[in-house]
Amino acid sequence: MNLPAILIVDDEPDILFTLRKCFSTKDFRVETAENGCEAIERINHGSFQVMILDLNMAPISGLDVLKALRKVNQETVVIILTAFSTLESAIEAIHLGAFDYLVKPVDIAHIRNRVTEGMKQYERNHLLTRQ
Amino acid sequence: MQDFINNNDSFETSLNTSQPDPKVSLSPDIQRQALIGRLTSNIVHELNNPMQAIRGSADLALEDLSNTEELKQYLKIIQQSSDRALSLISLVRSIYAPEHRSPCPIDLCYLLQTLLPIIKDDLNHKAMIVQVVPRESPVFIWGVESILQQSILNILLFINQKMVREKKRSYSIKVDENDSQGSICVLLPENFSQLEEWAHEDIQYSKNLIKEMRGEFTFENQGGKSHILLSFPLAFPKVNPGKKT
Repeated sequence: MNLPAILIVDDEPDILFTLRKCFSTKDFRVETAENGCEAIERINHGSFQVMILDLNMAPISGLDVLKALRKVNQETVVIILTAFSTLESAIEAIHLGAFDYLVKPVDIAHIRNRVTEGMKQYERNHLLTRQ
Repeated sequence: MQDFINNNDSFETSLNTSQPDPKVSLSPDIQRQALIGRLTSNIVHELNNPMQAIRGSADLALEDLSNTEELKQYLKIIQQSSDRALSLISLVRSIYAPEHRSPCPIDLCYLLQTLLPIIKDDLNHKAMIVQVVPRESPVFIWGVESILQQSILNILLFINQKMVREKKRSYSIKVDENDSQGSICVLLPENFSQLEEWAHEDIQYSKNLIKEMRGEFTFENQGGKSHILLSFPLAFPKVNPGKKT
């Protein structure tokens, strides 16, 4: 059985650890990436229903990862999780089709809730693409 | 017409003289506050990361108090992230209200490792990359941590600003030592002969702090590249066996 997949991208190992734990249940398959390069590699080799994406990473930023994702996949639902929000980055993320834009720190229940909503959005995206 | 041009010239001259003279030093208080201003956005960003780790770990720990092993991991993250958040708060406090602190041995490699995340936001915003030349052994110098932090951060923020202006996107940093001094060397991608002149005002504050710790600030142009060297007395100077004292 194919479990819904989540890709978590953040250059903070502790955040990556807690988010992985948060979704490591029998309901999801979780993959993580510590930087933009690793994230793009995972995007190119697998498909994900939801991606939780940090913005402030070097040398490839979260927005660059989102652009790379959109070149190969329009369905994956992207939830931005950033420590430093700017109006410009929020606007650009929305233009690139981000589903939500969360500013750290966010409680686990809220992230879970947004991922659940993201999964539903993925199903809608998937149906639309099929039609 | 000639008169008009002359008048205009003198008008411009009078305007120029009203600009701040770069050779006049700003008071240490103003320079300190300017550093806090430059660091604010970086520190706000950096504080949110440990706060997210604390929040996430606390939430997960509360969900399952029966799993002792996982609980220990969450508590460890909470402890480490709290320390990281507290050190950022203490950095701002030490710049804002400096206290007298006694010098102690400080590892320059570790110090650099803790400082770079603080300027991560500035680097990412400017799309810049800093490469740290790896080094296996620590270099302990004699200094006051908060003073070292301030002086190095101020210099790195200054370099970032100048590099962007020169359309350069990367530089590297190396920690090194000789028999009596430990140093941080900032290796710039090409010869910036003007940098010393630019640095005169912008990093005078850092230079004073370095001097306070019996350190040295030197600027060199070598082999078509510029280096900024910050040297401090080693905490444990090497004993040269061949040298009679």
